[in-house]
Formats: sequence, C-alpha cells, structure tokens
Amino acid sequence: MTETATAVPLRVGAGASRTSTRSIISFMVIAALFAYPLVLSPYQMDVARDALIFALLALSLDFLWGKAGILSFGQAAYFGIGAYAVAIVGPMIPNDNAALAGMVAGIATAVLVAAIVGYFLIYGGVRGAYLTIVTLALTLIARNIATSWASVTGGEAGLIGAPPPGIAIGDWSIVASDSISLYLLVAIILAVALLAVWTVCNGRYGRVLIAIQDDEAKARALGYNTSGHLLLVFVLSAGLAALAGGLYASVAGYVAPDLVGLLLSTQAIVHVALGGRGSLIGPVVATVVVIRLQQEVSSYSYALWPLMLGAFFIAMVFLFPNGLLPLFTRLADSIFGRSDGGRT
Amino acid sequence: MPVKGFAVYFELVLNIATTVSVLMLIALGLAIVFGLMNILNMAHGELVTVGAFTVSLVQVNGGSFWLGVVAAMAVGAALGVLLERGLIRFLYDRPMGVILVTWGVSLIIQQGLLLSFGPSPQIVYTPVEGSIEFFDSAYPRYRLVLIVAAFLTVAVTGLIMARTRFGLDLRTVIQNREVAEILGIDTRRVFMIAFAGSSALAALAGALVAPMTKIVPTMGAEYLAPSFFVVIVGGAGSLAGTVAGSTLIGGLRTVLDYQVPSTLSQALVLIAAVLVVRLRPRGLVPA
Amino acid sequence: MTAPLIEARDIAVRFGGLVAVAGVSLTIQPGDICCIVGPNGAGKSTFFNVLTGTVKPTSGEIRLGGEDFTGRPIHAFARNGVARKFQVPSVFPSLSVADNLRVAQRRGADEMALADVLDLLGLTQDAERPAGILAHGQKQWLEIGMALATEPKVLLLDEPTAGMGPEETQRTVRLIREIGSRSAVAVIEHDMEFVRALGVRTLVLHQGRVIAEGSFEVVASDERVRDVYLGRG
Repeated sequence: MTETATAVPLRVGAGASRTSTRSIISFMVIAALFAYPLVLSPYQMDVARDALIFALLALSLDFLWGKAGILSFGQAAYFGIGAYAVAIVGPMIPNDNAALAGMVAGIATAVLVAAIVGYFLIYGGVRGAYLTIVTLALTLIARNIATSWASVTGGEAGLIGAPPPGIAIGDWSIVASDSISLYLLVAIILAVALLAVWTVCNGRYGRVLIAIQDDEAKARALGYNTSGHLLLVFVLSAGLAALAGGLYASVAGYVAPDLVGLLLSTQAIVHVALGGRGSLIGPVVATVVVIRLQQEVSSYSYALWPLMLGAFFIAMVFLFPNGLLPLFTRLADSIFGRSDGGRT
Repeated sequence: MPVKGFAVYFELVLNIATTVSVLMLIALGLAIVFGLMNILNMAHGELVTVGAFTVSLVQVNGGSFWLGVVAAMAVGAALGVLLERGLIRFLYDRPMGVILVTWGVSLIIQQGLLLSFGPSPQIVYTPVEGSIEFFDSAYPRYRLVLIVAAFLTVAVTGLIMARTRFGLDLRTVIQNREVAEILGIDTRRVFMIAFAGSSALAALAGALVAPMTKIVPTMGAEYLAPSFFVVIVGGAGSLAGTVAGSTLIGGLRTVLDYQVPSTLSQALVLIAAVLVVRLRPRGLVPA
Repeated sequence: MTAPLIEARDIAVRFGGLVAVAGVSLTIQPGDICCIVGPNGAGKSTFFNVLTGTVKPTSGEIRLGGEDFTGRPIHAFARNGVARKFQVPSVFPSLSVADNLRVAQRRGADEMALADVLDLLGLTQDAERPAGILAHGQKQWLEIGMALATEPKVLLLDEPTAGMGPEETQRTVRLIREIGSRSAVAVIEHDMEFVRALGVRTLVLHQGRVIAEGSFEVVASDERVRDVYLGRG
C-alpha cells in the first residue's frame, strides 16, 4: 500500500502529455471551425456548412467503427431517415418548431431501426463482416424506399420545403435563415457532438469499448455485458447520423434520394479511414479537407471523383492503414517539443 | 396467393426458379471465397457486370451469344487472378482491409465502365427466341435455358468439389487451414484458383442474365446485398447452404413481389435474413 | 457456519458419447487454496469450466454461497465473485497495463487498489506500457492481477505457469500464496514441481474421476496416483 505514492504520479505524468497534445489540437481545430466562415463568401460558407454536416456523419461512423469496431455501410440510411423525416414531418407542424419536430421524429425512427436490427444481430453473436453486410442492405433498402415510394418521398425528384431550423416557445420564436447563423448553428452542434463523444470515449466507458475490441470473450468473462455495450454504440451512432441528416434537410431546404445512397456511406468511410479511425477529431478534419478537394476535382471533371474515391480506398489500406492523423500528431508533438521518449 | 388457376402458379414457380438460379450462380462464388478465406469481396457484383458487358461486346463484334458466355468466364477468371495476386493476397490477415480495397475496386470498375460505354444500356440479343406455351400462358424459352444452365453449373461445381483432388484440397482448407497446410496443401494456390473460379462464376451469371436485364455499369450492385444474404443465411463455404439460401431468399423475394410493393418485399427479406441469422448464426447448412 | 463459496456436487459432463467429467465434487471455503492436477485429458479443464459457468454440467449441481447457479450465464458467475484466468494469457493488448486493471475493476475505479495490485505483480514500472508488448510471463501475471482486481471471492487459475521458466514459476508460486491471503484460490496444473512448491490441498483427476485427495504429501504417496501420473514423469 505504501507504494501508492510513487505509482500514481508516474501514471498521471505519462498520460497527461498525450492527452494535452490531443486537447490542444482539438481545441485549435474547433476554434478554426468557428473562425473559418468569417473570411468566406455566403456561397462558400454554405459549402463549408454542408461539409461540417458530413463531418458530423463521419463522426457518427467513427464512434461506431473506431470505438466499437463495427464497420457500417448503414450511416447513409440513418442520415436519409433523418433528412426525409424533416422534409415529411416538418411541413405538418405549423410553427417554427417544425424542423425540430422533424429531427426528433427522424432520430427516433433511426434509433428504433438500429435498435431492432442491432438487437437481433448483436445479441445473436453476429460480428464483423456479417454485420457490415446487413448495414449495407439497410442503405440499399432505404435508397429503394426513397426512390420508389414516390407518394411520400417524392421519388427521384425528392421533396422541397423542408423547414429551416428554429425554436418557438409560446409567442417567442427564432429561426436561422441567413448563411452566417446557419453555419454557426451547424458548427456549434458539431462541436458539442464531438466533445460529447470524445468525453464519453475518454473515460471509463472508452476503456471498456477498447477492451471489447481487443478481446470480447475476455471482457465478457470479466462480467461486462459486451453485447449491450455494442448495441448501445450502434444505436447512438444511428441517432447521430440521423441528426446530421435532419440538419442537412433543414438547412438545405430539400431532400433527394442521393442523400441515402451507398456513395454517401462510402464517403463517410473514406473520411473516417483517412482521418484515422477512432481519433474522432481526425475524421472531422478529413471530411472538410476531402470535400474541399472533391469540389476542385468535380469542377475539373465530374466523372473523375468516383474513380479517385476508388483509388483512395486502395491506397488507404496499403499506404496508411492508420489514416493521416498519426502523421500530423507526430508533427505537432515535435513542434510542441513533447517527445514521447519514455514510451514505446 | 393469386387464384387464377394453374397457369399462374406455373408462372410463379418458373419466376422463382429464374430468380433462384441467378442468385445461386452469383452467391456460389461468394460463398466459396467467404468460407475459404473469410474475406468479403465487395467487387463481386462488378464481376457480374463485367460478364454482361463482355457478352455484349462479343455480340457487337459479330460473335455468338455462347462465344460471349465463354469469353465472359475467361475475362472473369483473369480479373479474379489479377485481383487476388495484385491486391487481396497481401491482406489475408486483414479482412477489413479486403472489404475496403475491393470496395475501391468496385467503384473503379463501375466508373471505368461508365466512362468507356456511357450511361445508356448495352444490348444483348437472346440466343433462344420465342416462348413456350404452358396451359394458357406463354413463357420465354430463354428463361428455361437460363434455369437449366444455372443448375448444371451448380452441379458441375458440386462435382468438382466432391470428386477432384482440387475439390478435396478446397474442402480441407475450408474446414481447417492449419491442418491443410500441415498436410502439404499449397493454400496460396488453392486461394488463387478458388478466387479465379469464383470470379468466373460471377461473370457467367452476368453473361446469362444479360439478355433479360438492363445492362448498365451499376447493375452488379443490385445483386451484391441479396447474394451476401444468401451466403450468410445459407452458410459460408457450403454448396448445399448456397442452394438452400438462394431458394429461401430468391423464393421469398419473388413470392412477396406478387403481393406487396418491391421496397416492402426487400425490407421483409432483410427481416427474414436477420431472423435466420439470429436463430442459426452459422447458416442453414454450415460447411 | 456460512455456506461454502463454491460447492460442486457430483458434476458430470458428457460431450456426445465422450465422458469428460464423471461425478466430481469439490467444496471451496473462504481462505482455501487448492490444486487440481491430472494428466492431459483427465477432465481438469472441463471441470474448471463448469466451476466458472463456461460449460453447463450434464448432471450435478453447482452452488455459489449456497445459491443454485447451475446453468446460469458466465457473467452471473463473474458478478458473484468467481474470477478466472485463461490458460492462454488473454490481456487487452491495446490498453496499457494500468488500464487493463482498471477495466477489470468493475466495482468502480480504485487507484489505491490498482497501485497495490501493480506492486504485487511487479509491474509498477510497466504501468503505462501497452499490455501487448509485455513478456509472456508478465502477461500471465497481469491476467492474474486482472482477476484479482475484480475483488473475487474465488480466483480460478488455469495452468498459470504454462510457458514459464523455473524462475518465473517460483515467482508465480509466491504470487499465488500472496493472493491466498485475500481470496480463495483454485489452481489447475499438470506441472508437479509447481504443485509440490505450492504445497496445498490437492485433488487428482484421472479419466474424469477423483482418484486421490488430500495434502500434497498424502497424494504424492498414493499408489494409484503414482501409477497413472507420477510414474510417467
């Protein structure tokens, strides 16, 4: 017992340098997100805003894939559910709470779908590739519903008239409609979501999730209900993706079947893999960078983008399996003079 | 069920047989590769597409449909070897990496075909014209050819797996890779041949459905999820499982399509698959 | 008189036609340290798996603190104070040594207890290193430490010295004695040197049955034990 005094400081000392480097980078990135629009034209601001919404989608995937080890092609399905809910439910609500009601409906639906599918599969012991395939099917089906249930979803044309984000309490109400406030709204929601997921995953819960990824049987033998933990992340991630979708519909004012496509899920995977799976902040940064790049490439040739995306996938797996973030972290560590000499 | 008499039932049975046949062909290769190497080839659907495009190209250049089918299988096998040797063999211990890489390949093939051939559908003329009269309804002759060809292919694959030296090696590796290596089986060679065969089967499926479907670069993606369902429902690496899974998924899908909108039937098939996986995690007929 | 921590009565396990365990009983009281030995295939591991809830007995009954636990899931056993260490060292390689122990502390973080366990294991210096890079023997100790961190009533160890050299084995003996002052311990082993060094109540299994029970000296001098086991080495 007397050794406590020496053991504890050792641990705190070593842990802190890693955490604070991360914190500084995270803080700088979040600050940059807020500062960014001030130098842009309204059109570019809208583009940046959309990029942040897709960053939220990437965050939802990183929570699931990076922290719980479940690769999902289903994020676009939840995104679509969130988006279509705002476009369908929103107009039914007469006051400025319309978008909010749509988002709540969308998140609830996505959570329900994920809970049902996830309960049967995860508690059934289904893991890995099998689970991935079912999420792929979810997106394909969601896409088909979006295109063929035209009386409700508007079919290929989609729906216009999704209400803008707002809140009404009694007679008082506020609606965000200009580019700057929409941008700030999205940036704040993303920052809050990022901090929330980051806080959860850096505590005790995050350790348990890593343990499950490392060796689920062992975690179960220690008394953890591992299926329950995985299902919880599966469901929360779906809710987060639906929130992103709802935001998108609300700020853009319309929805189209492209929002439910496999390509969207694919892009989210690229953003997460490129940013560094499990790093949370990495995928957010990667999304913004990649979407900027995508704009450049698409303006040059629209057909080139999917080809580059395909090449990205292959390059990613072979050249930087851990994403690009570790490279930047190392760079930052050397700039801040935090050599990690003691740790290997 | 529709109650318009015998003919309707007959047509239903034939429709089920057609769907099941196509699904079985596509899922067969997938099941072997998944059972054998525990990897998911996300570009499998694109090999179906390539098969259909090959037949179309051969016909455009004056070749016969059947020559096109042979060419499709050859192209499929060649692509399979290329994929396995060039990319997948480096990733046998990284199943997640295989999913990502083959997904990338599928995007490239899709977009490559779109750039080379454009978005309008290719045309393949059916080699067998006309239809057969059953009771009061007419059924296209070619569909019967397709059904027979599919079942023949499955039978031949089954024979290869049951009776040949390679089939024995293949089954040993599926059962236990370490034991197979101790027995002196060259697992890398088995992997390569199995992957090439799996790709050839997918291309064959694409060639055979070509006369009765819209041949566009994205056609293969439609088959990806259903054929994965067949594999997980039936059991990876098992021939009997693939037949059982195809019958369940294809049959259910066709029957439901008669009753409800196609989106709902898709969702119901997903639910059915999820339930089967919950109850029999290793598939209906495990390897 | 309180109920025993674990009471296994007439446990039998059959896999198809194969009889792995044929009627074994064992009672573990607070403060007990005992050893289950036997040649490979004697049914030790299967019996052990019954004690931890991993395998359901075909017949017989298992009680924890007097309550019937036959057929309950693994985590129910874990939550009722039964901790186990697997034969193959299984630690969480991506987590640090200290985090491995923290994950095992299900009752809530306790840094004092953590430092105490680290010291006991001799792993204080390595607390912040990822567990994946530890030496084989250190992983075994860490896993014992993780079982200990769950504050178990009974700690079940399956061949804790597998793959260890003589020096590491001696250290493990000392570690187990130390642990014995905190919780009851049952160890499965086939290394007789280890059992001799530990010198506690010993149960000898052969072909699924108990053929001798008692102190190491009593067991070691038993004719049948010499025949089936010691005679071979």
